[in-house]
Amino acid sequence: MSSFVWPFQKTRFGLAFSDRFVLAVRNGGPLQIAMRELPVGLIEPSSVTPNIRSVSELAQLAEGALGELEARREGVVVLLPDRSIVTALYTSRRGASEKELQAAMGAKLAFPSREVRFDFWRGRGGVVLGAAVREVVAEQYEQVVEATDSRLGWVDSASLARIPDWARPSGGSGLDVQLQLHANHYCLSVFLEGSLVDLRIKLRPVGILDGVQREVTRLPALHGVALRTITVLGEGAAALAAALEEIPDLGRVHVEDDGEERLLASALKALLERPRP
Amino acid sequence: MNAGIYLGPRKSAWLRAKALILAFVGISTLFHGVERYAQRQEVVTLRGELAAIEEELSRTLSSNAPNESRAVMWQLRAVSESGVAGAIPATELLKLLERTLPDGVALVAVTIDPIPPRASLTIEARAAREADVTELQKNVASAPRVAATQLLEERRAPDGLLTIRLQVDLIGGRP
Repeated sequence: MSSFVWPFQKTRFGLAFSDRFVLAVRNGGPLQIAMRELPVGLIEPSSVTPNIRSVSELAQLAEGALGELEARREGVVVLLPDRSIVTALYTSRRGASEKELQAAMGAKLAFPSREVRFDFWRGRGGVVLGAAVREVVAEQYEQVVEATDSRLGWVDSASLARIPDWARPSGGSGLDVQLQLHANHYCLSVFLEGSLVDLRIKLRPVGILDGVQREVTRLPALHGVALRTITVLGEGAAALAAALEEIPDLGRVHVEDDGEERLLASALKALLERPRP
Repeated sequence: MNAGIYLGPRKSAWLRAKALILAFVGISTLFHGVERYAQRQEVVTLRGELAAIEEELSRTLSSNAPNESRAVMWQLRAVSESGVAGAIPATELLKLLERTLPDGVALVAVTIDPIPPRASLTIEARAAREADVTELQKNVASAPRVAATQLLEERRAPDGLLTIRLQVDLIGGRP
């Protein structure tokens, strides 16, 4: 749409952080990716305590990845690890003010609300997706970006970035499930006629998919609606999709078994297409 | 519907206030610029009208007062170029003079007192005949936007011509 209105789309850049690597992406033309693997323990995602052991060391690696793409350092969008933020889904909060939502979400946090940045995405049918990040956590990642002489653009979390794009009516009845499989966790988002009705971000042991399969199998009973489509993205997507095929009356299954870096790159791409906040 | 979750740094209240102030200053500057442009256009129009009136007056003024004619033209130009146009539109003034000066009356000077609530003009003119002076007074008194007229002075000069000073009170601050 934006390219229709303004055909001269600028090249933009993004950085995604995980506990295993930092990824730089260049948008505008073919998607280009540069990745740097991280030493063990350099990033330990947490929503409570600072995540980065050495900001300067991580900044050097990020600089290397951005440099490989010859990145222009303006409006660099950033994806924080899922586990660095707290997420909440409110299914019927139509008309709720920002203040009310902050109070509701703040009451459930393990740290004081005054130390937190909140944001709320309002979807169809009064659905509100809330996200909270502790200042000390966000500031560390921002310091890394600033250390690469970059100006910050949009900041979101890895698995939430594409939810607004997915929350569109699909023209059929039944649950549309999006599964994002990361190395150590997964994000399950469920849509009913374009409305986000369920969201779970959970840890999983590396390579183990049993828990994910069980969660998906239970969804029809939980929501009283049959599964219509399942999209499985990320590490082990093909294996999980094969196991899910056994679910009776399952609709279409779409698989992109690309590895975590492709998953993050796709999320960054979605973010890069958003206007600057 | 908002675009998504944004967890970046929030703009501070001061930055937001600064943006508002800048926007206000920007809009004011733009408005002022447009106003100035409109005023300039008014002056340009006025100059065009003045050139036409100058030609007309040159034909109608008595042939034995070319120097006075030039002095009047100079004064009218001064009116158009000095910015008085903003206080009392000089186009209106010129139209008033054009409509009220009968043949045989030479305009010597026009003085403007633009101070509201009642702007006034003092017209100084010379004429050969008493009847022309009477006609000038009658024309001015019946002109639109003229509230009152008062003959301040009437004397016959050594050269035989009548010299008059006529005060014209205008309706409102701007004629």
